[in-house]
Amino acid sequence: MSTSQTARRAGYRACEVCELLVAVPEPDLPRMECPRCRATLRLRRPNAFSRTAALVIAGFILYVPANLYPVMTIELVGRPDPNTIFTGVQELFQSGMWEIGLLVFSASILVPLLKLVGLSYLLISVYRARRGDRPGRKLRRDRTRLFRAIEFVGRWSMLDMFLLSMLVALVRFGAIASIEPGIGATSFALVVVITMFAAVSFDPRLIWDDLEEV
Amino acid sequence: MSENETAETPPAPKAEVRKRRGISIVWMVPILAAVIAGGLWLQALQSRGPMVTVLFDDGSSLEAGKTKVLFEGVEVGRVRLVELSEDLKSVRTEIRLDESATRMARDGAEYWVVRPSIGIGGISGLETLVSGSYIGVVPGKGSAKKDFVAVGQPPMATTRIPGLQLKLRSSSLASLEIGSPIAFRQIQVGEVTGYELREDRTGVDLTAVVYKRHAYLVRGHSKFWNASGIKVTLGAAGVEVKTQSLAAVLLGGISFMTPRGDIAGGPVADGAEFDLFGDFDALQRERRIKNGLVVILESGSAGSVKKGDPVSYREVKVGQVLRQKLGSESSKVLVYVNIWPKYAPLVRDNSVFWNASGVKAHFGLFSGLDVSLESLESLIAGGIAFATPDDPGAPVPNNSYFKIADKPEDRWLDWAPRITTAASTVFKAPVKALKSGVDDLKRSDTPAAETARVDEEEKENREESREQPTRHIGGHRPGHRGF
Repeated sequence: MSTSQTARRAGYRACEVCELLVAVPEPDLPRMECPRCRATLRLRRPNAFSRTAALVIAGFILYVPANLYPVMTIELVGRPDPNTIFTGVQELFQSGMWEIGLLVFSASILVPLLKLVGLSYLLISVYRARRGDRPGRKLRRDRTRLFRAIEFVGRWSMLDMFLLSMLVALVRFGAIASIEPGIGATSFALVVVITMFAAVSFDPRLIWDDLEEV
Repeated sequence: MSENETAETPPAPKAEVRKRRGISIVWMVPILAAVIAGGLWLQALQSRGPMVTVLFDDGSSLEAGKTKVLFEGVEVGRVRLVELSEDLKSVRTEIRLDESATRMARDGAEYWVVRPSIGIGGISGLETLVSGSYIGVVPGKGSAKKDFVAVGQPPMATTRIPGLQLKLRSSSLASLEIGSPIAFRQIQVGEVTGYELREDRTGVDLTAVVYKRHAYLVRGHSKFWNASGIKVTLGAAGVEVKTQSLAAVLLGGISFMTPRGDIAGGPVADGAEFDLFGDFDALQRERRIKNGLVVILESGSAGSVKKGDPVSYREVKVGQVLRQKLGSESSKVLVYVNIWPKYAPLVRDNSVFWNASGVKAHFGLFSGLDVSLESLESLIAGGIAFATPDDPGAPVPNNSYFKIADKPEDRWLDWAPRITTAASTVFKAPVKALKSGVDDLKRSDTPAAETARVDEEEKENREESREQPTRHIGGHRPGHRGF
């Protein structure tokens, strides 16, 4: 459609690692390396769409046990007190620490959900664009921005996990007090990791690709 | 890749060919996630038993999601919801039971809250001080049921101490408590686990357990009596103090014995019922009446004879006055007398009875002062004496009538018939019965050491065995061979 000059049309590829623009002798050679940093030269991240879709679905599935199962069981003098993420937030609010509660709520409940929903939205919009439902430039730009936000915010979800791993390691007083991680923690960590991979495997250039095609 | 062969084509914009190589391996990730999540879900679903609602009077220390339901100390469920009932009079809890706990959702199951409590009966639920209260439950046997009302205190059967569970029927609680010891020869072999008023209000039913290793001591004919406290008897024979172990004095307690002779009473099963006698004397009295002889003496007046007075034969105490009452036409007094089993053969149809109370002084013109004394005990306590002629008549059945004389004739005192008292002739027999009884004990997995102790106890208890009349042993033998 668009007649604008692109690297692909001119027979170039940008190295994803060192950002060197490399001339490609032939577009469909199986494997090409960057002459400078030896990274594999790729036009797009491989299988970006299906990879991201698979990981997002996995993320959604694991998001359920992550929120339903206890993340940690605080055992005080033999009295186990299992906490899911949500009851933990509730307790923080009830004890007046609403700032921390808000932080935990956004980092542990909101952010993973936003990531999953955001990525799903991007995937759906890419899929629809390929089907011919072309969005305008502004919308595409917003979507790209959304992707950047997802990529940026993802790592903060791990805050909880770091906190938990420290607590589990520190609070070990035998019969008096101990903290055990639960199934929820495993699921939650998996959700965070999987969404991070999903964000990485998604190629934002897909948002614009349909502009160049035929 | 095959396009690579067509090398010399001029560079022209080419449509990008997306290669779809079947299903990408990344799809394993959501599949794996689904398997994990599905597995968790399935596990939760499977270990999920029925949901029941229980009404409690008091919801304090019940927490949704935290309070456990324990049966024999094992978690079988958890409280899911605590809320006030519609009428605001009780607390409604929803309890999710485990899959293994379906019997807790049947008719007859009982729920109660265990909280720490300190009382005279002892400290209970101490573990809940730190671990928080829990809900105790006993399974039911009826049909499936969803709604329960909590009971105030644990049902008796649940304080399950391993051992032989017994039910003792008593006329009153008589200073017994949960935890009161049950002693055999003053060694604690069990304890009282609970009590409740009998349904018809005529007495108290106690539940008790005899610990497993001592359970063999209880036989079908064992006798239980309340051995609480101290008993002081002041009599002519001196002051007699009877105590049980210090614990029994303080806590109250139950003793039991297993009489010899009819050991063929056989082992008992859980839930066996026994009568609990008020004290040892009551027990002894009952045994003596049952195995001995009761005769009725007719007299013009009661004299100084009263309940509990001794009955003597040649100044040896052989029985006791049970009670006295006016005859049906009030023309005479009937004195019921129990002759102890061993001495029952002494009473014959030609025996004579007389009032032996006090001092008899006879002042005659030619004989001078004639003072006759019964034993010192009967002098103080009063009592009745009897004698049997040198040619004894036939033995008498229970409830035979005799006249009672005011004083003995001289010749009565000279009578000395040869009558063998009951036990001596049958002495060998019960020992044999006992020996085979011991074999039975051995067969019922009794450790050898404890069997030895039974033997010891037999020796000591020989006194008892002498009291067993012959007919008793004979009567029990066939049954004995059977088991």
